[in-house]
Amino acid sequence: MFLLQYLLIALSVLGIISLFWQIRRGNMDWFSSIKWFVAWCAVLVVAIEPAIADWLANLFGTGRGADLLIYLSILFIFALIFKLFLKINQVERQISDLVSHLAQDKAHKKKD
Amino acid sequence: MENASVFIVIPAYNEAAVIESVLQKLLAANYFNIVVVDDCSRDRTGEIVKNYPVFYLRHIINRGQGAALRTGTDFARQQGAQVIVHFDADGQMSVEDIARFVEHVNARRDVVLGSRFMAGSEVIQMPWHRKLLLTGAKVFNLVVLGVNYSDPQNGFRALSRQAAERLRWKNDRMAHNSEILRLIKTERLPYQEIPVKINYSEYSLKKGQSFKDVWKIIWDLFINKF
Repeated sequence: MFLLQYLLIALSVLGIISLFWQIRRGNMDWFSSIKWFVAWCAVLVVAIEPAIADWLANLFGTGRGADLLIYLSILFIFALIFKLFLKINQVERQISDLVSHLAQDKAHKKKD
Repeated sequence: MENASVFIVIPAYNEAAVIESVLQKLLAANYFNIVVVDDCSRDRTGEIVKNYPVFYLRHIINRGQGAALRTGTDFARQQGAQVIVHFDADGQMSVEDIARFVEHVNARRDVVLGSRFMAGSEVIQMPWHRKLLLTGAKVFNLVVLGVNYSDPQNGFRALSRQAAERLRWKNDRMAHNSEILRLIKTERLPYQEIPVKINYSEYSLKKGQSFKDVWKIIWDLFINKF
């Protein structure tokens, strides 16, 4: 085993422990919990048996396991950016609601 | 229906140059329920509006025309409005047209939409690039949103009280026009398009939509679907 494999195994184990901690504290919904559990397990399996990455790369037609990892990372970053856009949009809407309520509460009309 | 239950909602952002004449015309036409939503103007708009017997609401942060219209519409509903008319602050819309909007709402049309492209409409000084932009918007609304109106980007509209309660648009900025049209369809509200008189000026053209707003509108419509 290479040093990188040990690092990845340690990282994924820490990730899974932290995930269970978050679930116990009620900070995660079930969909996110499953998604992150699957992701960390995938990292753990590939770290223990790197040949799986090459087998998957051949399956997807990308050639090398490292290339597949980069493509998946790009997809993951795009998804993350889109999620951030949605979050920003949601916050913007909340700001608009707040501004609207303040404006209505302080409505002013000059007497004739 | 008396003008007492008709509310005119005017979103305003840096309109100090024209807002006074718009308010004077509306008051002279006996519309006394005017709601001006100042969208955080940096000029004297608020100062001018406060001198007139109209409702003055101020957004403490600029939120866009769609948000200002939502604020004004919600406020008008709370005040007991039966008909809510959306009217621009830039002086290009005609006060004389409002009576026809109200008539149509009273004739059980929940939504009445102004059109610059119907027979009987009068459009003064519309430049070719604006016409091109509006034609593109019409095609986009038809193909992408599936709504077929003769003038989808026209902000001159009247809503019955029921329609104002049911049309809950999310878009804060310019995409609210298209979203309202889509909501009219999904809410199955009876609507009517009527010809209007629009008088473009150098001032109103500067304030209106341009080609660079197109991508922003498309993006806003997309992101607000989620």
